Amino acid sequence: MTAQPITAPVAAPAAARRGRREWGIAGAITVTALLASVLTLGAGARGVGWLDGVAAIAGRLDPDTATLVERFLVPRVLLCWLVGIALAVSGGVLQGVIRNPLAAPDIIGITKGAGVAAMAALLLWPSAPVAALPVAAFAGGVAAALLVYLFAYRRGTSPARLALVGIAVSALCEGGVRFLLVRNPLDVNAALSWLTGSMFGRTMTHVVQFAPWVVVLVPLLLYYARRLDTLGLGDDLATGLGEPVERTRRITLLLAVALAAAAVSVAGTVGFVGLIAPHMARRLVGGRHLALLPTAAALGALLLLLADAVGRGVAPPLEIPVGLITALVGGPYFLYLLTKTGK
Amino acid sequence: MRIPGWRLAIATLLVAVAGAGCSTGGSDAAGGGSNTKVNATSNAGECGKDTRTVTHELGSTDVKGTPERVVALEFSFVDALASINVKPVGIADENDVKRILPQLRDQLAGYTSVGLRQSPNLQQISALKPDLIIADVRRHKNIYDQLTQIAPTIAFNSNQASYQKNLDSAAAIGQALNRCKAMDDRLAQHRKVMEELKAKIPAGTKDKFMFAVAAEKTFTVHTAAGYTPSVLEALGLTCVVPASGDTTQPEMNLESFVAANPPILFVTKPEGTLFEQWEKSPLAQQVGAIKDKKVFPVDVAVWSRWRGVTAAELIAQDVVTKLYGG
Amino acid sequence: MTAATISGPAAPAGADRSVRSRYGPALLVGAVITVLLVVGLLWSITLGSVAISVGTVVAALFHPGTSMQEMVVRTIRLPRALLSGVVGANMGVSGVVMQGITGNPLAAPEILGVSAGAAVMVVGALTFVPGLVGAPLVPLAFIGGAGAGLLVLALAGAGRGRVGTVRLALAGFTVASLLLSATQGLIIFNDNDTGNVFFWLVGGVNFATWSDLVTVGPWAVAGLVGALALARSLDMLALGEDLARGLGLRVQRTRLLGGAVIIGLVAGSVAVAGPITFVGLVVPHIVRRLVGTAHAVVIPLSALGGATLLVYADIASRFVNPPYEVPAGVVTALIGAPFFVALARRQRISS
Repeated sequence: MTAQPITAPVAAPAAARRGRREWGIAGAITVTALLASVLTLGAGARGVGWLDGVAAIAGRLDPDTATLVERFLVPRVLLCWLVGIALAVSGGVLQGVIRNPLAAPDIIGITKGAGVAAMAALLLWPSAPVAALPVAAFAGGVAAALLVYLFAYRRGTSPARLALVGIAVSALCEGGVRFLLVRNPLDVNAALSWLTGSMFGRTMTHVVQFAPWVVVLVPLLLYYARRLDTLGLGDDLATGLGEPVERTRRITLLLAVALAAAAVSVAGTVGFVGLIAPHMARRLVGGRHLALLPTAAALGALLLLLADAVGRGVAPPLEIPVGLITALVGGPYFLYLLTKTGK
Repeated sequence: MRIPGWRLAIATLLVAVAGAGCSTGGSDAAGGGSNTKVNATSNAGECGKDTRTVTHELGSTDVKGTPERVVALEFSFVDALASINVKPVGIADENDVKRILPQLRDQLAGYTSVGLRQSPNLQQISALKPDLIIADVRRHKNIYDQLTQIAPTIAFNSNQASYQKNLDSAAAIGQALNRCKAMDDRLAQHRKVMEELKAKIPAGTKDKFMFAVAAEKTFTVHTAAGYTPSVLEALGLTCVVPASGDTTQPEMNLESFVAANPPILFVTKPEGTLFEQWEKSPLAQQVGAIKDKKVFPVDVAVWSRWRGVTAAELIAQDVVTKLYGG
Repeated sequence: MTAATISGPAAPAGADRSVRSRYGPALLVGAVITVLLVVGLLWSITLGSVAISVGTVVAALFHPGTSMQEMVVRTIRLPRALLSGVVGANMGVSGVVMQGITGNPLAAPEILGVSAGAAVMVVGALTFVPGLVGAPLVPLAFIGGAGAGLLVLALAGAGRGRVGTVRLALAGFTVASLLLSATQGLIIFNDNDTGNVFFWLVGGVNFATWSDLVTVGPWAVAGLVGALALARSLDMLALGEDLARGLGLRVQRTRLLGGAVIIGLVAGSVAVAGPITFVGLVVPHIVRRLVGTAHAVVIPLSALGGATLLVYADIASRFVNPPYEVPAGVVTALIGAPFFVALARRQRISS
């Protein structure tokens, strides 16, 4: 069986020293991400230099460039942070709950569910207001995850079955997406540019819409961090320790799903971040969720910032969707991971 | 301790949903107007005013002065601009100058590419400091708000608009540019050219045609509602594929092609495609166009991609040359 | 249920007896499927945009004439109906063999990312080599599909014996997502030029010709014969690797031969019909449920069942967006995915 316990009980004496080291790493990554947000600000924009981000903060830019930075670049950077944090934290929690290091928002159906609902809104209801798309995507993501949970539930949820049913439900949603696209061939490109996941055309409005989700749900999930550690010990042991396993699983899953669905609804299908950010974090700081989740969050933000900067900077005026880059980078990393966890 | 945790979770989730719901409500502006019909004549009174209210498919927009720096996000709008000698500063040309109609490439040289039509580079557009942006309804509805922040933006249907609708958008673009006279003159000249070409076609012709884009794996026909067939219908020909369903460009297989039985076929890229295989089949010999050798290869850029008065005239000339020896 | 039977070790004697006692039902099931298949083929031939009566169809089949209707039947509808049957049979058999050699009930071409691999190669070729058409796409689709499938199997640890279900599904899902992203990227950056490729990517028999049947025929025959030849070895493998070795089976050789059979069947099908999904997953499960697990019975019945499923899926696809064509792959995906959900739900997984 592949699902292995991924957290080990932390030995008490070493805990304090380890705690300090964990926070040091998380802090270092956060600082790197902050630096990256400033330094990558000008990537790909004609007339904006690599260091103009700093100049903008210092207020030393001509008004035109300042408007450009403020209107197009700052929202993107903020959204990279928020989406990266949301996906990484959600992925970290899911990996803890499903107790499989390969679990991620993509795998339990959220991404594809959001995709099929968004496509339905986009293609079957072309006159829909612009705001309908994210609402549909969010509803679709949550509905798909709920479906996965219901289907996987047989006297409790086996983590492996959750993953398996998640993949199956994803396949179902993918079938739906194909059906919609084949019926509406002229809109394939509009559809794909959403499905690939991108920061294209995102504004402060998107940031304002999405920020509450992160601000509310991330701390809440951190509050559950200890219980996630307990769940990691296995159902029997956790129950023995007095943890209401199924209920904790249900609450944390619900929160993680909502967080990821909100992220997907605002940014489209940004794959692999929820999978690899928590993974890297686990390698850096170990499996204790209170340290793991913040580290993963900073890594998620960093990943998205870099991916978006590369996407803007590599071939202007073309913009490579951020989801494509995270997939191209995250995919191979994941495959490497898979061979490592083999055996 | 545990039950409060559960309730806390639900409660905060509800708060978050409500919060997001509220903020979503406000950003509805762009989509709401999409049902507004374009009516070129209703704009006519705006001509010559310094501030003109241009009615378009995503509402109505005030355009001041005479725009000189225009960004066009679809090829048909580039055609409208080129037809009155306005050189766009930015074109969403898929980052490939070869996508520009060869006949217009020299005239338009010097523009800046703003990337893909589907996702044009907004920073690039902004850096060009345009005073007018012309967008496509379907492709750019989602970024209409941002475009209007950069410059007044008017939006029309490009890809799925008929010939007549395309002319209406051209007229509206003329008003937006404060060049009503130039556009009216050009459109009058266009009508004259088309009349002259039509005169070379026997009056009351009953010729029926099909227009299709053949590719490696597909055979895409354009229905009577599409741009190119409606140009040909304006010349008096009849499209054998009636408008139906929600697309103007459905796929066909050999049997539906045989069933449609076009006596005349205009087809792009007829070499090395699915269509080439069909032509070899004995069944295809039953189709009028193939039996009577009335299959005419045409240029995909002119016939399918460009959609504008220049393209319409080239298409009409093609038809007259190929069918009626004009 | 089914899952447990093929993945769990069973006593050899019991297995033997079940083989004998299952031949009765197998004949009945075979007869029923055959009748369904023949009805489906005839129905398929009567459907289309040119109106043709059943009488004309029968006449065209037996007395070659040259009227338009008769030619439509012979040059379009007959190869289409037959091709859907052959491709369906290929997918059904490849599913049985794949599940047999991996010992995994969820192994099937679609789970292994085969279609995603074929798709990315074809779209990439059309993008980077614009003049490339027709024939060269076939080996490319083949290389892409086989490459992705082998990669997934290797990543899931197939080289080291029995493949864990979740592990296989996760590896396949991830490789497929990666390839799908790449395909979407290629399509986005080639607006209009490759957009219609999407139609082909779904997989279908809309454009079937006799030459497609000639292309796929040898693969189908060789695959079916090869699979039947492996039937006993697969039965032994189902008892568990160690037991199979004890019975004198050369496990690794069986796996390799099975892999060759699968690649031939799938590649031949992808080449003519594009990546059609879920037939290979669904059919073997239904067949095993009806007639037990003996491969000598399951393989031919899965061929028949796969043929029947795809013939009816192709019929249904013509009602999706009339009068225009929709690939049959859309229908099989919509039928097959819920089945996959049910199957995943039924897995007995110790965690």
